[in-house]
Amino acid sequence: MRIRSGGGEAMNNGPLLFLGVLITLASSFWGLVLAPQIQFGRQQPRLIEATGEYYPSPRPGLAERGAEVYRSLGCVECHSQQVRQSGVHFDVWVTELTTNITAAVPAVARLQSHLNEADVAKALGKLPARVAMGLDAADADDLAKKLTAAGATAKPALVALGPDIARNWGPRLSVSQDYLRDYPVQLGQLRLGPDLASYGTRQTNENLILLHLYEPTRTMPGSMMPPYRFLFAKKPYKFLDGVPTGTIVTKVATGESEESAGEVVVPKEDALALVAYLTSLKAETSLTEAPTPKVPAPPAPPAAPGQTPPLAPVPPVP
Amino acid sequence: MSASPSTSVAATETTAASPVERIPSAEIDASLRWPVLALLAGSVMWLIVGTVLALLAAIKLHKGDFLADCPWLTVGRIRPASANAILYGFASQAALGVLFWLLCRLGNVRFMYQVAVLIAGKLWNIGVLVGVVAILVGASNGFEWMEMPRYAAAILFAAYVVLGLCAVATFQTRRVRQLYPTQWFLFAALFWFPWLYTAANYLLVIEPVRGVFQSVVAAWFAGGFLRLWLGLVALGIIYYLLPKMTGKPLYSGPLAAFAFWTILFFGSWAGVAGLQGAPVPRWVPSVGVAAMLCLLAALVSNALNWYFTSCYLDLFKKNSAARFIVFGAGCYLLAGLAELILAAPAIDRVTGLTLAGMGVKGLAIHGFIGSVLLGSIYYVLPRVLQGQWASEKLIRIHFGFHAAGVLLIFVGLLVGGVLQGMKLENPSTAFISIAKGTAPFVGLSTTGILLLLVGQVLLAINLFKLVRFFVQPAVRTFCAEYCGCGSVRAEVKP
Repeated sequence: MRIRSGGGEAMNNGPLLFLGVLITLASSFWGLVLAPQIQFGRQQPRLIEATGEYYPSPRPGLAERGAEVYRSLGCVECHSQQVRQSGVHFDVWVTELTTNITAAVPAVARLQSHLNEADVAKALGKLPARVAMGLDAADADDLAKKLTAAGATAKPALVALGPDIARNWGPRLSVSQDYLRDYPVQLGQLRLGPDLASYGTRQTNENLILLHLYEPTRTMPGSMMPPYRFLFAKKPYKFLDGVPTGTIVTKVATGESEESAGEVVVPKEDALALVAYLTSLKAETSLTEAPTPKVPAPPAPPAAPGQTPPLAPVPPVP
Repeated sequence: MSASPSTSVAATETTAASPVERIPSAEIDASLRWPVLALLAGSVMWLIVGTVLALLAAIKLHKGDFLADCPWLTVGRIRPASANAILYGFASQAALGVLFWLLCRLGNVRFMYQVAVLIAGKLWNIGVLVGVVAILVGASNGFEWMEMPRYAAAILFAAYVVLGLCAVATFQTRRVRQLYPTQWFLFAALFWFPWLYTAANYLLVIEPVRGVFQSVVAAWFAGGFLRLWLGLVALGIIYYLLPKMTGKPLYSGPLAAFAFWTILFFGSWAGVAGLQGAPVPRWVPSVGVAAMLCLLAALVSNALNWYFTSCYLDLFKKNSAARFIVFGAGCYLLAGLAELILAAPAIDRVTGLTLAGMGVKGLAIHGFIGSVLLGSIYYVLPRVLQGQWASEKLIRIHFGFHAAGVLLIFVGLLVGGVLQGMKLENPSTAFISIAKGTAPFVGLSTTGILLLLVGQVLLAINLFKLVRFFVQPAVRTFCAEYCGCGSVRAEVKP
């Protein structure tokens, strides 16, 4: 009673079953691992003409170490690193008047029939002026050309849409180019905390980030984030006095109680590395596949093409 | 691809035609006693460890200050540690234990590899321990369910090679050549796991691919791990135990074969559906969603097959182990539907990156896979130990806690996630208030985890009593036979 052959019925045939299992695995491996790899695997850091630098550029050493701290602490469990965008539309901005304003106003008002001349005059009083919103690319281009021909130099400006953008989590959607130098890539699956893909563009105050890590509820009342006090050390106050300025020992702006106890809280190197990493998260470089929206600059000094836009002031909230 | 008519008639091994004299089930069970006991007892221990860690993580979401000064108990570490303890320590280990038993029973063979499996099983436990501790001290890889660093993964893999070879050898030496659907599922799972695990480890840890393709590979792995390793084993168990418990033959072999191949073909593609909206090529998540839609065919055929095989309600009343199996089958259907609905692009736009996904995962892990494995632990252990559970009532209470816990976790996180997603859609709602708004729902799931834990402690008590009744006489006989001291010591004792 050793092995009888599998017989005619396919489902009783062990080797055939094995072959089936092998083929299904190979198909999904080919489709989901090899195919994307062949399609995009040779993606390289790209030369950005405007800045003359490669994007993404390597992180500075301390930030690179901070990425390890980020991975090790499992920040990805609550923070995503991917900005989503639901779409784009175009606004049209008048940047310069080539005729005088009295001639331009009726021309603009004629092209934008829903605006009356008073509004147009008011808008054009201060350039750049937005004269149309929410158009698609072709309409915006068309309108800009007509306006320019009428004496009001106009250009379409891209506007990224979506709640993530509106929350100021990033100026544009995240694309695969942003992650080329990351290991491990931490896209995340849950947003119990805010998205961090572009954290460095909205929070640049390192001391505030340190304080947030030390006691989140102080910088953000009601925060659910656990405190990371173990990234800090309490040192006698005198010791800090003895340390010359400019060393890595940064005093956290702690409250009175710690100060009066004769102690001061200083971040350990891991905390500083983590902060360096967080401030290095800046997915804002304009790319062909993900242009960064840019508000046209005032006419006087013409804006350099591709320059990063001036960012709206951000409330100091991590 | 057609199953033979006799397969569909065979309500498991009892009716399978064989010219050979059959080995009595009791004898087969006895040959499996130590390996299966070791694997299943180990799995229960890890289940409790994993659930305790999950409970700590859940509490810390409510009260950030709780145990905050301890770096290795930070949320970002105990959550993956908990998931790994449950998936590798509990689910994979229990799956292997039940798998050996099923292969021997269905193939009508005595188990031959006791020592190898005992040692490899211990090695597996060591691997999980090393991995969980490594995650807690911060050596995580940072990829979902692959957080264990390479040295722990190497131990697990080494242990699995032995365990898997023993299983395949058991399969090959089966005396009943006719295959029952359960065996297809187990056989496929046996190969899928090592291939997936090595491929993913190679592409993510040893020779990492660049950029977001790490995330694609990680999603491919996580989906395959759930659907084609643990999921296949759990389905195989259901296909065995449902007919066995009702005493009726399986309704249709061909239908089971259809479900099997559908899962095999599409299951491995479905994992990437979770990448919708992520910065990966658009076609990748689309393929995932399409595959998930195809899996609906398997879901429906499984449901029909089970429905016509057994009357759920009768079975539910019949015995306590059956409740876990029926509940697990129900959770499989519910989780499959929920995951499909959440993957619809219009819905994913709202619920992606919220608690809802966690809820469905919780349902799949604890509700489907967990229930089926717990049910089979309750079913298999008394048989291999030739004993009785100390208390049938404790099992029923465990089931009550378990079912309530699973539903609380699922409903709490699903509803919380949907609300969270809807609020996130509106950028004028402050993020902090959205995060705080999830607290009551996270609280529901925390309660659910607590209920799961209570039930698991009851299982541990029952298991301890069962093993004690079994081990005590065994030790006494052993001592009496080999040392001659057992009886002496018994007399000396007051």
